[in-house]
Amino acid sequence: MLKGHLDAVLLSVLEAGPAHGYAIIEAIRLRSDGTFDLPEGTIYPALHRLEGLGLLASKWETADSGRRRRIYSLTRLGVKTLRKRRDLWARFSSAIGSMLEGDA
Amino acid sequence: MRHENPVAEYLDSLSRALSFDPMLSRRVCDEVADHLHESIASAASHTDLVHQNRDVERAAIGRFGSPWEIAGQYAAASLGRQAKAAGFAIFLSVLCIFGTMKYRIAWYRATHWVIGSHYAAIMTVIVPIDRYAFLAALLLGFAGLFYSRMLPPLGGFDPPCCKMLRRRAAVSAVATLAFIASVASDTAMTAGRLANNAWSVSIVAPVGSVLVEVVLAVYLILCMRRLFGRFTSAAATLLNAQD
Repeated sequence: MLKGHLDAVLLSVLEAGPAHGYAIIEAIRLRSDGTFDLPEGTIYPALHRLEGLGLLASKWETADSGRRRRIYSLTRLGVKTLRKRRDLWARFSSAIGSMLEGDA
Repeated sequence: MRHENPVAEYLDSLSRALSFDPMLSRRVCDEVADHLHESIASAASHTDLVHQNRDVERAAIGRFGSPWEIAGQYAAASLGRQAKAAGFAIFLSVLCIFGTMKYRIAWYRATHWVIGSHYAAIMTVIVPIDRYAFLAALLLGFAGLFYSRMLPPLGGFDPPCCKMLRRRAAVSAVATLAFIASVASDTAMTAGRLANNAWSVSIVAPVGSVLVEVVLAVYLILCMRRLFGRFTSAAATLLNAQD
């Protein structure tokens, strides 16, 4: 179920500020209270795809440990896209909510 | 290659699974190495079982997922991009040989270089080959570009995606063959003129322009060879891993 919304989830995590892959996975786990515990490797192809679409930018930095680390951040287009996805999700979840609640 | 270290072994498998795109492979392996080291450090800080380091490493690798599945998520987009780049290279090369042909014709007119009458018979065969091969390369090059734009974005690396990529690559391969035929006939026609006229420093102009075409043909052959090699290796390793 998360697969269809992974892009929006990644964009929303990066809205808080630039982060590397592991920190993004941890943020998803924390913000979803462990509900979204996806295979960690799946986020990298998604991050690279979003970068290819111009929604994210990335650069290499050196971590405290001395290892090279790729840091991702939202681009202006990414911010705009996230806003649109949020609006869409609000309308969609409200409609589904009304349907599921029924006439009760 | 067998490693004592599970992380090194995993990175080695991932690098082999991503061999269809060496630059991407380096970048992904660097990112994954950092991720796994951080994941292991974080898990180790939450456990007292320091002597079970290998188990912590294996657990981190397990959470990360299969290298073949991860490579499969990159394969369609990467190979699609490479096929598109090859199509673009073919189209630009065709435009370039159009320029060199026009240049040679203008040069022959200016210097009154003609083909010897004893080559007339063979030219009746070579000239149409040159014309139709060039037209075929131009049309197929254009079709390849158009086909790339018309295709929906590729998803996972599955058999339907393979079929689409194979079609794209086939169009590029046929366009390259037509390009080679056109360059070969240009070379033969230039040789016919060279044989019939006195040589001087000025032959650098037609010979140089033919050399440009030959270099482009060799470049396209190498491009196609690399594309088919990577495509075949990705299909063999990633599709088999999915079975």
